[in-house]
Order: sequence, then C-alpha cells, then structure tokens
Amino acid sequence: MKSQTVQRIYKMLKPQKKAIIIISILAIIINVGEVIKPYLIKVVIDNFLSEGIWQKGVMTIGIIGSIYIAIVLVGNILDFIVSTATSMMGENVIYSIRNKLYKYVQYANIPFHDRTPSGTLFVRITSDVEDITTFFKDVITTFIKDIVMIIALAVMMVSLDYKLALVCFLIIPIVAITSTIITKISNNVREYSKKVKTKVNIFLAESIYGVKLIKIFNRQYEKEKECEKLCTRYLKSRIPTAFTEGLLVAMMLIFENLGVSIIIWASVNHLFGINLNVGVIYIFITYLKQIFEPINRIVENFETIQEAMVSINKIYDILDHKEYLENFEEGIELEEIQGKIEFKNVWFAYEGENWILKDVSFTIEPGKSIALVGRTGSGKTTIINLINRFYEIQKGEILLDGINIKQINLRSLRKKIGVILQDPFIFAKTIKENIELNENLTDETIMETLRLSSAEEFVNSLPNGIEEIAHERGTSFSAGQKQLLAFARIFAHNPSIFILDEATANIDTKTEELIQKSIDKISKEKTSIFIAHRLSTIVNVDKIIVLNNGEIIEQGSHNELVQNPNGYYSKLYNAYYSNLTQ
Amino acid sequence: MKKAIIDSLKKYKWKILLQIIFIGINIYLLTYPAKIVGNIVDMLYNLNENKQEILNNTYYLIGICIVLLIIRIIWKYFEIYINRAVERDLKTNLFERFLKLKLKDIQNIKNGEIMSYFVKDIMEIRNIVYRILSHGVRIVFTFVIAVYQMIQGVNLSLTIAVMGPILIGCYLVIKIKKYVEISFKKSQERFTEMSEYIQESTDSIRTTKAYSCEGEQLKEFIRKNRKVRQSNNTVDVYSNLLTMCLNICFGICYSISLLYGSKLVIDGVITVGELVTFNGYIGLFVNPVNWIPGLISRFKRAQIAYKRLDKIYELEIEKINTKSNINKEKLEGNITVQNLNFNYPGVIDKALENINIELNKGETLGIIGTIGSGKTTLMNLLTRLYSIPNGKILIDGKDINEIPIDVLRNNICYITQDNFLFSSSLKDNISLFKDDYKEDEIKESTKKAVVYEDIQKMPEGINTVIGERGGDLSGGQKQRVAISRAFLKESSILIFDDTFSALDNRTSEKLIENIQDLSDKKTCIIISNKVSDVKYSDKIIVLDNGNIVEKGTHEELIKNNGIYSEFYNQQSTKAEPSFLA
Repeated sequence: MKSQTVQRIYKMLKPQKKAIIIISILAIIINVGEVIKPYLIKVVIDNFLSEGIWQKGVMTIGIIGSIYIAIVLVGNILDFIVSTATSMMGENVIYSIRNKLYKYVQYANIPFHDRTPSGTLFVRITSDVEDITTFFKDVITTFIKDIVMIIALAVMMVSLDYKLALVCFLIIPIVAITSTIITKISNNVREYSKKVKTKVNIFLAESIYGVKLIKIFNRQYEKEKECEKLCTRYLKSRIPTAFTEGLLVAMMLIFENLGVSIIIWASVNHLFGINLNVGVIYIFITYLKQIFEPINRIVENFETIQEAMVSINKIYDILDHKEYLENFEEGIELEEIQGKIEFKNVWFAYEGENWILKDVSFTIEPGKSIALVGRTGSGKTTIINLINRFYEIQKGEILLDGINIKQINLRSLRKKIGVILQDPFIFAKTIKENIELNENLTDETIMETLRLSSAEEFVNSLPNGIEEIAHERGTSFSAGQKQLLAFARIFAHNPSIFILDEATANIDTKTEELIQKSIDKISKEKTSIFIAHRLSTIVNVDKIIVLNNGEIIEQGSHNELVQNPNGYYSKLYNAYYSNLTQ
Repeated sequence: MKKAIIDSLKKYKWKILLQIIFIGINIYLLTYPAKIVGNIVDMLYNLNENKQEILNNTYYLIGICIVLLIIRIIWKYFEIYINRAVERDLKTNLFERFLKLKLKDIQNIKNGEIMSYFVKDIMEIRNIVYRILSHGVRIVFTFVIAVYQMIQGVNLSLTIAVMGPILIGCYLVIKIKKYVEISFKKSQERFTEMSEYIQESTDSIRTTKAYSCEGEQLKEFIRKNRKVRQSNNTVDVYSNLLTMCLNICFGICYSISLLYGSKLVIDGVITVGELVTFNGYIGLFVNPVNWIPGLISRFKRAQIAYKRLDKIYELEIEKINTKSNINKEKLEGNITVQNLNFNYPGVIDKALENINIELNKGETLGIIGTIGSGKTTLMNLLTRLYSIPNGKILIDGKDINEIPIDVLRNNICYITQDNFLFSSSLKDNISLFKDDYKEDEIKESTKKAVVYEDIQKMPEGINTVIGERGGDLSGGQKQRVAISRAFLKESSILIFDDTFSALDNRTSEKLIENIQDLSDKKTCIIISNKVSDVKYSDKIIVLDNGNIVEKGTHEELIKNNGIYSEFYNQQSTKAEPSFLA
C-alpha cells in the first residue's frame, strides 16, 4: 500500500471520523460479550455441573443463564445498530465520491474528453465505485471488529492457560496460509471461467443481433454447434471450483478439529505440565472455533482491499487533475451582442507543434454568413470548436465583438453560440426537455420553436407529441428528424451566432427541404458559420473560406472565387460540374 | 420448455442420485465431531482410566474430518457438474429454438430482452435446480438426521424445547427475506437508472457544454444518486435485521440448552458430554435455516423465468432442415411476383401493394425508392423471412411456399443493408463459419468485392479478428466484406440491399461491374437510393409507399420525367461528399 493511497483513503473517511470511533467502541463492547458467553458456560460446567448443584452461594445457573440471554439480546441489537451505521457510513462515502466524479466529468474540458473514452468514464463512476463499496461498507469496520475479536480471544486464552494458548496459536499461521492459497487458486479459476462466460455472452449477443444473416445463409447448424461448444467450455471451466470450494470448507473443519485434538492431547498427556479441568478444555475448544472465522474473513478481505486500492487510485487519478476543469466563474458577462467574429493570426495544435491551424485570420461581420470548405483534416471542425472555446488556442486571438473570447465568461460565451453537429445528440427525455435543455419554457414556446424549425408535423405525429420520450440516444428518430429537433433547440435558445456542421448522411428529400427552410430563416438574421457539403449552401453564403492543411488558401464570395480560373475553389467547382455532365 | 428441462435432468439421473447419496453421507458424518467431543468431555472426568480411549477418539475425530474432505469434494463435483451441464443443455436448446423462430416474432422482441432470456432466465432455472438439489436436500437431511441424533443421542424434551426457537427463526427469516428481496430489486432498478443516466451524460458531453447545462445535469445526477443511496440503505437495514433475528433465535437456543440442559445434567438424565454434543448439533442448523428463504424466493423467480421462457417455446418455428444432410436442389432463378400485397403483422398500413414483377434468369433488376418505401420488405418476403399467401411469389414457376426454406435460402444470396459482422476472423465472416470453402476461394471473392487490398494491409490478412460489431473496419470496408459473401456462395439469385451506401463512386462502380460479370448466369437484384447504382440494370422499378410507381430502363425513366428523373436531378446537384468533405 503506497502512502498516497492511504492518504486518499484518509481523505475519503475524514468526514466520517466520529462515526468510525463510535462504531469501533461499540464493536469492542459486542466482542467482549461474545467472549464472555463461552466463559459463562465454562463457569456452569466447572462450578456447578461437576458438583451436580444448581446453586452455589448467591449464584445460580438461572442467573447465569439470564446473563447469557441478556448478552445475546443486547449484543445482537448493538450489532444491528453497528452494522447499519457502518453500511450507511459506507454509502455516504460512495455517494459523495460518485458526485465528485460526475461533477468532474461534467466540468472537465473537451481535451480531457478527447483523451478519455466515455466508456472509461462510465466504468469509473459505476463499477470502480462499486468495487470500493464493499471496502467502505464492510471491510473497514469488520476489519477493526475482527482484529479486536482475535486479540480478545487471544487474551482470554492466554489468561486461562498461557501454555495451552501458545500451543493453539501454532495452528493459526497454518490456517491463514492454507486459506490464502486456496482463495488464490479459487480466484484464478473464477477469473478464467468469467472470461469464458463473457465469450459465451458475446457469442449470444451477436447471434441475436445477426439472426437475419444466420437465417438467410442457412447457418443454423453451424451456430448451434458453436453454441454447444462454447457452453461446454464454460462447464469445464467451472469444474475446478468443485475442488476449491470443497477443499476450503473441509480444510477448515480439519484444522478446527486438529486444534481440538491438540488441546485434548496436551491436557491428557499433561504436556508442559498442562493440567486442566473440563470447563477450561471446553472453553478452549470454543474459543479456537471462534477465532477461525475472523482469520478467514481477513484473508478473504485481503483480495477486496487490493481491488479497492486499485479502484481508489484509478478514481483519484482522474479527480486529482484539476487542470482539466473549466472555469465557469470568471470572465466578462455578455449582454446583447452584435455577433462580429474575428480570427487574428490564430495558431492551434491539439498537441505539441503539430499545427492544425496555421496563422488563420478572417473576419465575419455581424449577421453575415460564411462557409468553410476543404478536405477532411483541413481544420474546418477545429475552427468551430475554437469559437466556443472547446479548445484553447496557442497563438493569436479570437475576438467576439472586439473582446478576446478568453476574457469572456465561458457559460455566457457558449450561450451566445448555437451549434448543430452532424449527428445531434438526443437525450432519453421528452421532446420538450430535449428542446429546453437548461431553461424552463412554456408549451406554447416549444410549439412555436417546432413550427419555426418545421418539426411540428413530425412531432405531432408522435403518440404523445412534445411529451414523447425519445429512445436512448434518439434511435427512434431518423438523422433528419434529429436535425430538425436540433434546429428547434436553436430557435428556443436564440443564440447570436449559428454554427452548422452539415450532415453527409442520407437524408430524404422532404426532410432536406425542411432543413433548408430553417437554415434560410436562421442565417438571415444571425452570424452563421457552415461546414458545408451541399453546393446550394456554399453558393448562398456571403463568404467562402477555403482551407487546406490548416491554412486559408482562398476567401471570398462564390462569384469572386469562380472568377479566378487557377484558384482551388474554381477547380473544385468545375471538376464537379464536368463530372456530372459526363 | 418442460421437455427440455426434464430431458436434461434425465441425462444426469445417476449423477443426481450419487450427489444426493453423498450429501446424505456428508451430513451424517458431520454430526460425528460433536458426538466425539461430547464423549471425550465425559471421559475427561475420569482422565486416568480413559486415557487411551480419549486418544483414540481424537484419532477418530481427525479421521472423520479427512473422510469428510474427500466426500465433500466428490459431492461438490457432482453438484457443479450437474448444475452447469443443465445450464449448457438449456442454453443450447433455447438457442436452437431461437434460430428457428420466425423473423416476425423475433423482431417483436427487443434484442436486450432476448439476451436476458439466455442470461437471466436460464440462470434462474439453473439456480433453482441447484438450490433444490443442494440446499433443499441438505435442509431435509439436516433436519432429519440432526433431529434424530438429538433425540436418540441426547434427550427428547430438550430437543423439543430447542426446536421452538429454530422454527420461529425459520418463520422470521422467511418473512424478513421478502422485504430484503423487494428492496433489493428496487435498489437495482435505481442503480440501472443511474447507470443509464451516466452513460448518456458521458456520451453527450459536447452537447451539454455547447448549451452550458453542466449544472442542471449535475443536479439531476445528485438526485438519482441520492435515491440509490437511500434504497441501498433500506436493503442494508432489512438484511441486518434478518441477521439479528437469526442470531437472537440461535442465542436463545443455546440459552435454553444451558438452562434446561444443566437441569437435566443435575437431575442425572444426561451427562455434561451429551450437553456439549447437543450444543454442537444446534450449530448444524444455522446454514440450513439461512437457506430456506432463498429457496422460496428463488423458486418464485424461477417460476416467472419459466413462464417467460415458455412463451418462446410456444412460438411457431420454421420448418428448416438444419442438420448436415442438406438438400442440394438447385433453382434456376426466374422470379415472378403476382399481385402481391403485404401488411406487417399488427400494422394497418400496407407495406406493399399490388406488386408485379417478372424477372428471368440472368437479368438484373434495380429497385429504387426512399426509406420506408418497401424495398427491404419485398426481399424479406422473397427469402420467406415473412410468410405470404400461396400464389404470390413464384420461383421457376413454383410457389415459394412449396420450396423448402433451406433450399430457397441456399439458392438466394441476400446481402443485407446492416453490414453486421461477427467478432471472428474475416475469413469466418465471409464463409460464415462453413468449413467447405478453401482459403483461395475466399481470397478470390474478396478481390471481386474490391476489399482484397484493404485486407492485405491488415495485421493478419484474412485471419484478422474483428473487434465487436466490426469496430476496426470502416463502414465501406464492412460493406465490402459482406459483399464478398455474394461472390463466394454458389447461388442463382443475388440480392444487394443498399450495400453501396458507404462506398465512394469509383469503388461502387467497379463493384457493380464485377456483379454484372457474374450476373450473366445469375438473377440479380440491386436495391439503392442512388440512381448511379441501378442505372445499368435491365429493369428498374421505383417504389413509393409500397407501390410500384414507375417501371422501365434508365433511359425510359429519365424521359418519363417522373420520380426517377427527379431523383436523378437532385442527386446531381448534391455535392459529392467525398469531394468537398
């Protein structure tokens, strides 16, 4: 365990300090009760039963029995309180770490998300946190309890007869070692069979997904054979667990009775001068049995602790990187803006000196529109990601209405910019919530935005209208419909700057017309930037910016650019048309 | 379903019997350590006389433990073997059944749902088989053997006195366990809900940032997280309550044995050793009592799972000869469609209306139409993935309902539009797991599908294993791998359903050329919404809303000035994505 990990655990547990202290104290009380119980029986056997009497002085077996019942009741009720408090404490730790992680993910910048796949983040917040749950809910406190228990039992045994106790202790390391080895083997077996199981499941999932393919190619027989083969492999992978599962329990039984035998041998043969009466032998046997449970548990938990350490470090490796967090607090709050955008000698690289944009300068006047044209990788998408500060530029400056966007409050800046991506994200919420996003709008406003974006007809055709809940990631809608909803978002939020990454996917003609209508409406009044694929869009903008390898090679209106016969754009344009007429 | 379970259990009847016998022996022997320790305790009072006897007893004790070790491992072997073998049999049986179901039924069920039949429901059945054979048998044996030993070896009235709290314990445990189960289910639901939310949030981060709704997302998450915490706490309270009740019941058992047992010892009815033995017997009940509620609740869950699975078994299956003796009958490939109408089950709107097609061997048919116009539906009917009345589709003049399904599908090679690939090698994906093809043949087919060079560039060529759902290949590459199957399979009818959408013009032209070469001897159907893909076909039909609205050759249709020519003009003005993108 590295000291860093210990520090991290300490940090997580610090708010729970009081709870831990109280739990530990109660745990000690419970354990003392557990240790006293066999002692009471010893007293009964040695002091009463051996003489065949019910009462001795003021003491009777009845009183001892009552104490026994009292310990049972109080001990178990206390135990209930302790374990409930412990789990709640664990839940609190988990709850707050999960919130922290989620918050981090939300506030981390795009470069962070670029290098961290969303699947990894999902695993961190769900299963990695789950992995530490057992650690905080059970292990930490049972660990305290178990150690206290072992010590208490050991103390009792030593005080009853230190020689016999020492003989008994010899067996403890053997138990711990055996238990460790078997647990280790058993974990390896399990790990392997888990892998086989995953294979079976992948096979099944794929067969279900590809059932049409299997049918039309008549491959039922081949697939059935494969299924049986995989399942048999899984069956075989489980067989060794019979050995490990059987062995662990049986070995503990052997050790337990070996311990019992040792106690009896020692007493019978008066080894080391041990000479005990029946009650003491009984209590030794009971204590020995009692001591096995915490030892085994500690061994088992060892694995859990290691796993938890790994997960804790994974989680904090994310949380400790504060440099990825975006700052939403500082900066100038924008009021009404004109929408003038200027790029002044902008240089940008995702990493190092690998420049994606090289000395890019251009201006978009308020209310005007531009189209970015160029091959994949020429830097078009990068430009739109810089305007809303998904990435920070290295050299030069980007100005909005003459203010450097680095000085503008991030939230305020992004509210002024409306972006529609190629494949707009639709949340698994109602249509209404999908359009509102972070604002509260009336149903009328929503309907109005749907009308403006020509999505009214399609939304009205849904069974629940604007209250219809979209499927996961909007799979129930076509690409075109998703675009229409994205336009409705733009109308609802009324940004001053509009950015559209035109879809290349096949969209049917009718929807495409509707989308065109929305584009026309928006670009008439807002500063608009298009990553254009369609000629009609390109021809209609005020300015075309042609990019090649991160440099602007031409800019101007369509008419201007086609004038220059040697220009990149006019070559593209002419080649395209001659291709068509062939 | 019932038959599948019974068949599987019958297969292992001797193993099951042996398992039960070994469990019996195991439990019988488990009562011995307590008995021996009791004996020893009694003998300790007369240590000097019984010294040898005591030592012998300790040897017995260890001997019995070693025997128990062996028996336990054998029994566990049977237990795990039967348990997992039943699981395998049921899974394979269900899988066989599933592959024969009609597509219309399969598509009515979500993929995740089908998966849960295989994973969750089969697990429930397996689990109850395990619990009955293992826990159930052990509960019965423990109660019978331990109670017998208590009465026989110690004392009847003490036994009765102690059985009271044990039975109360059983009752309480069953009662409380119900709440544990209910609250656990709820907490799982909430966790799933939260997981889905996290998944969505991590996927939507750009949209969230663009609209600055990080704060709202966080608030919603905290709400869901709090709900998870709360329901987890409820589960913990109930399960701790359960443990407490159980422990108190057994604690009272020991108290009774201490009080009443001591009295019996003083009265000379039993010895101290017998009392010690008795306490040992009480310990034997702890696990079985704990198992009872699990057995009950699992039984209920298994019943639900059984009913769900039975629904699958009640569905009609296709009559397909899947075994190796495949009917090698050949079809020529003349297709006739006569006045075909079709509705998807439960849908009022006609998917296809009054379709008439005449297509002869060696001809190519182009079908063009927008999404939802009925193109794929028509192909689904041709391959009998959905059933139609007699006399509507004929192949070589024979009604397709009279052609055995396997013969029909062996003669049609239908490349679907979802370019789905299995996470196996490319070779397996092209041959589709049939070993009959030589590697050269497969390579040849990839050359014709214009994907050979792409495959050569991959680390292990044709043996490269594809990441799940074809993750390592581009859309275009996946399409071409799928198309390779058409060049490999010896079939008389080829269908390409929108399989060129992700290819650039040059590649798709080359592919269509290769297809044309092949189609002199074969009947070929090309479906697309790009005019360029179908314009060389012998016949072209335009589908709209399930109707054939135009019919003819490319030139005829252009002159016609209908939908087809409109498509043609539109597609000309739309810039070539690969050009400007």
